[in-house]
Amino acid sequence: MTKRNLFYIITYFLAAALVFLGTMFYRQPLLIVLLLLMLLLPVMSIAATRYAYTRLEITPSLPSGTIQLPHDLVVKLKMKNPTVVPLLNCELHFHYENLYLPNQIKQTIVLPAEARRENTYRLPFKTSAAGMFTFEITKLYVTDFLHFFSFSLPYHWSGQLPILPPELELPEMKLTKATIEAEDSQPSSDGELTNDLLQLREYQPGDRIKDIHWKMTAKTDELMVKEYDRARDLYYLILPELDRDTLQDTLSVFYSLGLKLLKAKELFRVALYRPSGHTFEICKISGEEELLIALYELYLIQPEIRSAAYHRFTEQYPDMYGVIRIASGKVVPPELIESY
Amino acid sequence: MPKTIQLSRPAKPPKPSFAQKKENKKRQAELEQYGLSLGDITSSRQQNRFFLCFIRAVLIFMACFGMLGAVVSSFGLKYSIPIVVLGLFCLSLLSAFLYYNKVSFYVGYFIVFAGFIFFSFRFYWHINSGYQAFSNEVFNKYSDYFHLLSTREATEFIENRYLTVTAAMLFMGWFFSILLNITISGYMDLPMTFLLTFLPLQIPFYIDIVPPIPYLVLLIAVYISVAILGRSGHFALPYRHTKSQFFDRKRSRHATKHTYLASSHGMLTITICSVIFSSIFLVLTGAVFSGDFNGKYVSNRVKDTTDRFVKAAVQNGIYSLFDRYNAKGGLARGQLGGIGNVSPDFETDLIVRMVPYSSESIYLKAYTGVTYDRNIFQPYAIDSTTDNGAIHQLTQDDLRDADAEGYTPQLSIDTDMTLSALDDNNNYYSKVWICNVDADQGYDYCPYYSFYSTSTHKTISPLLADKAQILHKEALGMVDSADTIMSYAPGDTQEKNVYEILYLPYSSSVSYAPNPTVTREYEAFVYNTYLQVPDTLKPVLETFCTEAGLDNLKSLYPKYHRDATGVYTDREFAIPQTEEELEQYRANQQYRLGVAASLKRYFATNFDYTMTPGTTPRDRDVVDYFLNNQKRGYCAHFASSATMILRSMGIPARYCEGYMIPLTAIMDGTPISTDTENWMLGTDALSESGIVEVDVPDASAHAWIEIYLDGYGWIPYEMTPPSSEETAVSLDLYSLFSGLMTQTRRSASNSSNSADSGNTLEVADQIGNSIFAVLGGLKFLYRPLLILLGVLTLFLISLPIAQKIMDAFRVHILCKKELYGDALLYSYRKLLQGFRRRKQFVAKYPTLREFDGWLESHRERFKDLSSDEIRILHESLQRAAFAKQHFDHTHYQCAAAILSKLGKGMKKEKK
Repeated sequence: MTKRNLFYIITYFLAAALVFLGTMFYRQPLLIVLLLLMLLLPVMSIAATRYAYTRLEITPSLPSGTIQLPHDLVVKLKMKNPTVVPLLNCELHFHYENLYLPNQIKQTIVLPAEARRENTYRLPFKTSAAGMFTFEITKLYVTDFLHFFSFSLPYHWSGQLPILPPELELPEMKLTKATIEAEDSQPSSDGELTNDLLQLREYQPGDRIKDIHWKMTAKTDELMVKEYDRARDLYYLILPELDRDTLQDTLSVFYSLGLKLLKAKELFRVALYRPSGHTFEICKISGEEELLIALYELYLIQPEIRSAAYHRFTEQYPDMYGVIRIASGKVVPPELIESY
Repeated sequence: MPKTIQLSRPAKPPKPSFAQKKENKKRQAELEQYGLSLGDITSSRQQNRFFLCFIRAVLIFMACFGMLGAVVSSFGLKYSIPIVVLGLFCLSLLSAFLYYNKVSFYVGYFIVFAGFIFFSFRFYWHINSGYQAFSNEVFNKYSDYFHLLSTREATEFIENRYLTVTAAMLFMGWFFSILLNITISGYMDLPMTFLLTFLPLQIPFYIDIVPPIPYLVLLIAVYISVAILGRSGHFALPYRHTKSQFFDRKRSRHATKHTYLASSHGMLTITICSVIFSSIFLVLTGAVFSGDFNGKYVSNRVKDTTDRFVKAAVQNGIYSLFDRYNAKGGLARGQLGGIGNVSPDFETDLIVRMVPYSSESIYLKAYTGVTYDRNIFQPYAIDSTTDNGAIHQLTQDDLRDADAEGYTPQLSIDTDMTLSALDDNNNYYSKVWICNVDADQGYDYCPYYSFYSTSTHKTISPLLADKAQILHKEALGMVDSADTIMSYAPGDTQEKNVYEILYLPYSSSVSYAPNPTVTREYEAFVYNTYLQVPDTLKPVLETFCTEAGLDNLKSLYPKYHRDATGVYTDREFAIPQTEEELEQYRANQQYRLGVAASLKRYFATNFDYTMTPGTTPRDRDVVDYFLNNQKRGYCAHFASSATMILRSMGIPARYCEGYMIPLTAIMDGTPISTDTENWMLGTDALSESGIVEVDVPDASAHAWIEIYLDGYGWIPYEMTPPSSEETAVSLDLYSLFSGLMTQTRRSASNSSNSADSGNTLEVADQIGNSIFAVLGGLKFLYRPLLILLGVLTLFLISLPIAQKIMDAFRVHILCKKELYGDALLYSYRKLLQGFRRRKQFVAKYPTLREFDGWLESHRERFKDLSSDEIRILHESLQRAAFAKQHFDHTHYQCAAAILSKLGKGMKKEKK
C-alpha cells in the first residue's frame, strides 16, 4: 500500500501555484522554466525512487546462541543499496518485546540507504527480564525525495531469542523424589516410569475414560478398560507455578534448580502447565539442552496473576505426590511426601 | 612482574545533559515496564563531521554567490569574480564550521561578528560606494522602465566601481552567509532559504531582467538540495543533538521514531545530482530565455497597482508604502498625518503658460483648509454665532461667496504698494493658461488675486466674476476663445481640464496699505471662522508658544486690537480713517507678520524638514505629535501647525494647498512667444522675457498658510523651512546600515523637491527618528496584542478543563465502541496520574497489589470505600486488563462508580 503525504503534495502544488501566479504577474520566462522544473521534479523523484527500492537489500540478524541476564543484546540491520540513487528515507516499522511483558509501543526507524553502499546499524537492547525476546520488522516504506509518496515494500522479518534468567545460588535443601503416575510412558529397566498392562476388564463406575480400550470394546460390544501396574516414587518432578508478580524469580529458581540437579547427575521431570487448556506436559530432563527446551516452552506460556498450576495438578494427578513446587520464586519441597 | 603505573587519570565520562538524563529516565522506565529498552542506535559508518560541514558550506556558498552574483550581474555591474568567489567561499566555510562543535559555535559566532564589524568599519567607504553604485544602476534601470523624468544619483565617494562593488558584495555576502547558515546548516529550511535568496532577485525580475544562467543554476541546485535534504531529515550534525550521537528519537505515547541524523554521503550525492540536474535543465530550456515572451505582455490591474507602489518605493524608499492614504505627490485635501513619506512621481501635473512677472515663487492655490478636526483641515467652516448659538456648517460655496463679498480672499484690491490700484483706472493685469494633466481634477489652480476664470469649476465666486465684468472690462478682453484655449493643450484634450485665469500680478511686501474694499461684516466673519482651535489642542499650543518664546511677542501686541465687535461698527468698510487708526493698523500688521516670522525662524531652528517623517500614530493629533514628538515633517506639517499656533495667538489664519512654481522653474520654462499682447496689460521688467510654458510636476505640490491682516485681507505666508544640509555620516555600525538603506539625492529630483522649501533640498538621513516614528505608528497594534494576550491567558487557564473534557470524551467514545475494559483502564490511569501529580502516590507503574496496599494504608482518607468495593475494583481491573471480552457495561459502571469515589478521596486530601 502506498501512503500519500497529502500535506507535502498540497504544499508543493500550492508553491507551484504561487510560481504560476508569479509567472502570470511577471511574464518572466525564467518563472516558466521554474514552473516546468517544479512539474518535472515529482515525476523524476518517483521514478528514481522506484528504480532504487526494487534493488534495496535489508538483512536483519539476531545474536546467535542464548543471552543470559544481565547481558545485553544487539540486533543488526544490514542495508545495501547497489544503485547510484540514494534512498534517503527508508522507514522500517519494527516491534520488539519480551513475550511475558507485551510492549504496545510501535517503533519506527528512518534510515538512509546511501548510493552504492552497505551500512550496518546496531540496535542495542538492555534486558532486565528473562523471557522470549522477539524482534519483528512489520513494514518497510521507502519515501520519494519530495516526500509525496511512501511506497510500502513487501517485507517482513521476525526472530526470537530466549533470554535466560540469572543462575542463583540455591540453599541446600532436602528434596524427595516424587511418585509419578506417568501416562503412556514406555516400560524400561532403568527405573523409568512404567506402564505395564496388568489386565483388561469390564468397565466399572469410576474408571477413567482414557483407560477405555476402544478396540476391544468395539469387538466385544462391552466397555472394556485397561488396568495398569503403575510405577511409583521414582523421579524428581518440578512444577513451576508462573505467578505474574513473581515470574522472574520463579524462572531463575527453576533454571538454577534444574542446573543444580543436572550437576548432581539427577534426572528429573518438569510439569509444564498451560493455563489456556488447563493441561500439563511432563518433560523429561536429562541434560542442559533439554532444560533449555523446557525453559523455552515456559517462555511461551502466558503467566496467570495467581497460578492455579498446583491446584490443577492435584486435580488431574490425585495419585501423584512428592512434586517439587516452585511458587512465588521459592522452592517448596514436598514436605508431606512421607505421609503418602 | 613489573607494576604498571597509570600516569594519566582515567577519562571522566561526559556529564549527561538534561535531555540525556530525561532520556535515560524514560529508558529506565521502559526497562522496568517491558523488561527491554532500546539504547542508542549506532551505525557502522562514522559520519565525518568535517565533511558534513564542508558540504553545508558549499550549499551556503552556492546560495550566497548565486543570489548576489545574479542580482549584481543583472544590472551590468562588474566585479572581481575570483576575489568574490574566494571570499564568499571562505565566509561560507567559516559560517558552516560554526556548527562543527560547541566551542566553535560559541567562540566562532563572536569571531564572525567581530570580523564583520571590523570589515564594515575598515572598508566603510568602499562598501557604501559599492552600494550607492548598485542603487544608482538600479534606479537608472527602473527610471528607464517606468519612464521616470527625474534622475537621481547617489554619491559614490570612491569612483572605482570594480573595487567598490566587489567590497559591497563581500560585505553583503558576509551578512547573507550568516543568515543562510542558519536556514541551511541549522534547519535546512527551504522556504526561508528561498525567501532570502529569491526575494532580492525580484529587483531585476520586476523590470524584465533575467539574471545570467550560471547563477540561476547554483540557486536552483541549492533549492533542490535543501528541499530534499530538509525533508529527509538527514542533515543535522550529530554532536548538536542532545539525545543521541547518530539518531534523533521522538517519542509519543504509542510510538517512537528514530531518524538517522546526518548522511554526509547522501548530502554529497544530492548536492552533486542537483547541480547536474539544474545545469542540464537550464541549458536545455535556454531556448525559452531567448524567446520574446514579453512581447505579448498585457498589463493587468495587479501589475499596474504594484507598479504604482514600486514606483513610489523606488523614488522614496520602502517607507512610502506604509502611508495610510494615497502618498503620491499632489494634493492631500487637508488630510494630515497619514502620509509617512511624500513620494512624488515627478511627472507633470500641470502645464502653465504665463508671462513672468515676479522674482518670487508663484502659488497656484486649490484647496483652503478652514476647520481643523481630527487631523483633517476641512474645507468648510462651523459658524457658531449667526444662528442664535446653534452650530451649522458653512459649505465651501458659502465661504467662497463670503470671501467674494468681503472682496478679499482671492483678490486683494488696490492695496499693495507694488501694484497699481485695482479700480477703474487699473491697467496692470495678467493671464495664465493652465492645462491640468494629472493634478486633482476637482479643483482649479488659481494664482493669487485671480478674478476671472474660464473653468467650469466655481473656484472663483460668480459674485467676483460679476464684479470683474464691471471693474476689469479691459482685462476680460484678454480671454481667448474656448477653441484657442484648448488648442494650446498637448495630446488628447478630452481628458484634460484646460482654462485661462485673469489675475492681478502680486508680490509680497513688508507692509500692506489698507484695503478700502474690506467690509466690516466680512472681518466679523473672519474672526468668527478662522480663529477656531480644537479644545484639546489649546493646552498644547499654549505650552508650545511659551517654549518657543512667542509669548514674549505679546508685549508688541497693540493695545488697540480690532475684533469683530469692538470697532468700526459705525461704518461699512474696515479701513482706518484717522491717523491714530492708521498707526494702530500698522502696529497690528507688524505684530502679525512679526509673530509669523518668529514662528518660521523657530521652525527653521528647531524642526527639520523631511519628506520621510513617518506617519502619525492613529490616536494622536498630528499637530500635537508634530510639535511635541516628531519635530520633523514636510510642508503640510509646518503649515497646519502654524495655522493652529497663529490662531491660538489670536491671528486669523488658514491652511492652503496647491502648487508652487519656483522662479528657477519659470526661468527654465520653454519660451512660447515674445508677444505678450494678449497675456499682460501694463508693463513689467520680467514681462520682456515673453510667454513661457512651465511643466509643473507633482513634486511642486505644496502647503502654505494665509494670514489675515485687518483692513487688508489674506496674504500667503511660507512656513516651511528649508531642509538642513546633509548631515555627515558618522562611522558607526548603525549609520552604516542606515547609510546603505538610504541615498543621497541630488540633481533633478532635488530641483523638484526644492519647490517645497524654496531652496535646494538635500534630504538628510534620519532613519533613527523614523524608527521611533514607526514604533509610535505601531501603537494601534497594542489593543490587538492585549486581546491576544488575554485570549492566551484564558486558553492557558482553560487548558486543565479542556483536558478533563477530552478525557471524558475519550472514555465516552471507548464506551460507545463497547471497549469498556479500555475505558476503565484509561480512567484508572488518569486517576493514578492525578494521585502522582498531587504527590500522594509515588510509583509510576504500580501493580494492582501495590495499589491495594496503598489504599489499605490510607483507609482513613477513603472511608466511603468499603473493602468489598476495593476488591470489586481490583477484580474489575484485572478483568479489564486480561479478559476484556468478559468485561461488560455493568462491570464498567460498577467499577467507574468506585473510581469516582477514589477521585473524591483524592480531592479531599487536597483540601
